[in-house]
Amino acid sequence: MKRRHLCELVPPWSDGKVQLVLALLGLGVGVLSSLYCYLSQLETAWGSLSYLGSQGEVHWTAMTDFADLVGSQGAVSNWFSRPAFFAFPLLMLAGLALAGYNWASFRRGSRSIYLMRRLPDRWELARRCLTIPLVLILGAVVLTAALLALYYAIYLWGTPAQCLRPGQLEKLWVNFGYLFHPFAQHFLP
Amino acid sequence: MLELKHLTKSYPGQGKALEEVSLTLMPGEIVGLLGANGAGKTTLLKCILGLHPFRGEVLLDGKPLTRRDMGRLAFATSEYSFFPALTAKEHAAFYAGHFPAFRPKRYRALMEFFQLPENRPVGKLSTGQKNQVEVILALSQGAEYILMDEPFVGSDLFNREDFYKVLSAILEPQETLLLSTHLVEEVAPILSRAVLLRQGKLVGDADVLALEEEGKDVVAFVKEAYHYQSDRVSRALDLLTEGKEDFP
Repeated sequence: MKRRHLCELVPPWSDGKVQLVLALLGLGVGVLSSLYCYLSQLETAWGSLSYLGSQGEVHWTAMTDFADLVGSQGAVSNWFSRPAFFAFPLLMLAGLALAGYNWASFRRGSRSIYLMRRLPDRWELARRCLTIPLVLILGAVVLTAALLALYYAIYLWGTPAQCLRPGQLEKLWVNFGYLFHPFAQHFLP
Repeated sequence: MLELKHLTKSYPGQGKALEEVSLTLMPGEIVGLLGANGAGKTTLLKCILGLHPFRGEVLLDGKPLTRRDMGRLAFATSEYSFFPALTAKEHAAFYAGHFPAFRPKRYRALMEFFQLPENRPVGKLSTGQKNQVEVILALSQGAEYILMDEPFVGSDLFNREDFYKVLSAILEPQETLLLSTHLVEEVAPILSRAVLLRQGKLVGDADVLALEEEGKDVVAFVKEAYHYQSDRVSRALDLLTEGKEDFP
């Protein structure tokens, strides 16, 4: 596969470095905001796991479900109250918008789209329009999956065994539908 | 050899823009694609370049034209196909990177001839200069078939005349030019062949030398094919001036 310079992966007049840095910055801010939101939720949940009884004995309560901590339960309204992953769908939308913007820019001020469409390399136009948006979209997908795994590992590691309720992954899976479809509660159990 | 076979193009709700157009372009020809506005000249060029879907065939040296062969065709259009934010120099680098046959020597010679600024964004040049850059890039691409769609729209007469001189002087025997224009009188002296479109149909195809032998010129050929009524102006004036004005 031919190695390409960054400037060959964006519209010819665009600064590839700027687009890539902005995309990575967006992903970085998404990760930091997600970490902040999740860890603060987790800290609150861990803080209310035990209480002292009247004779000084320790009582344990059930831990909040993992699915609720990452904010999937209740769909969109919960994304604002527990927005652990809220940034990532936005970044995916930004990726789509950037792809559309790149594509449309070949029709602004001239019809350079004609030149692009008659280049011997048929992938040139798609490569210049889609590479950075794909970095953003795939980056958001991969980070969502990686953070979800990390958060679940932290959840299991830090929560006392007696407080864990069974079926955490199943609940997460059911609530996964809510995460991506605000009307899913009408269809999912 | 570039062959068009039964090219038909329809726009939804607008009927046929091209109807069964068949045409063969031989190496070295300078062909004028002539016709009134809306005759289908631009559509034909865009179909050849694969910018519009169509029915029919476009063959290059007897084989269907593929994307890999596209470098053998260049295009200059009055809509401009350059990148407005890039300079001419950056365009040359872009062309050189994508078209292996790019001709830097011709590019530099033409830029110098037209005294064009190389380091200014093309979008900031005057209309005439933009036309020049568009045509220079098409001529420098190193293509065998150069398609031009009204490349001189908005250019002044001197600018256009310079271009006609350049075109007739620099084209090499293997280079074919298909020049779509409505400036029939101006381009007639450089043409070797005139092809006439009317309402999407090919209504005339004549060798300029053969026309001259018949004692005709390109303009007369166009008027004849278009059934031009030379007395229509005088008839209109007569209608305007005769009798009193009265409403029916």
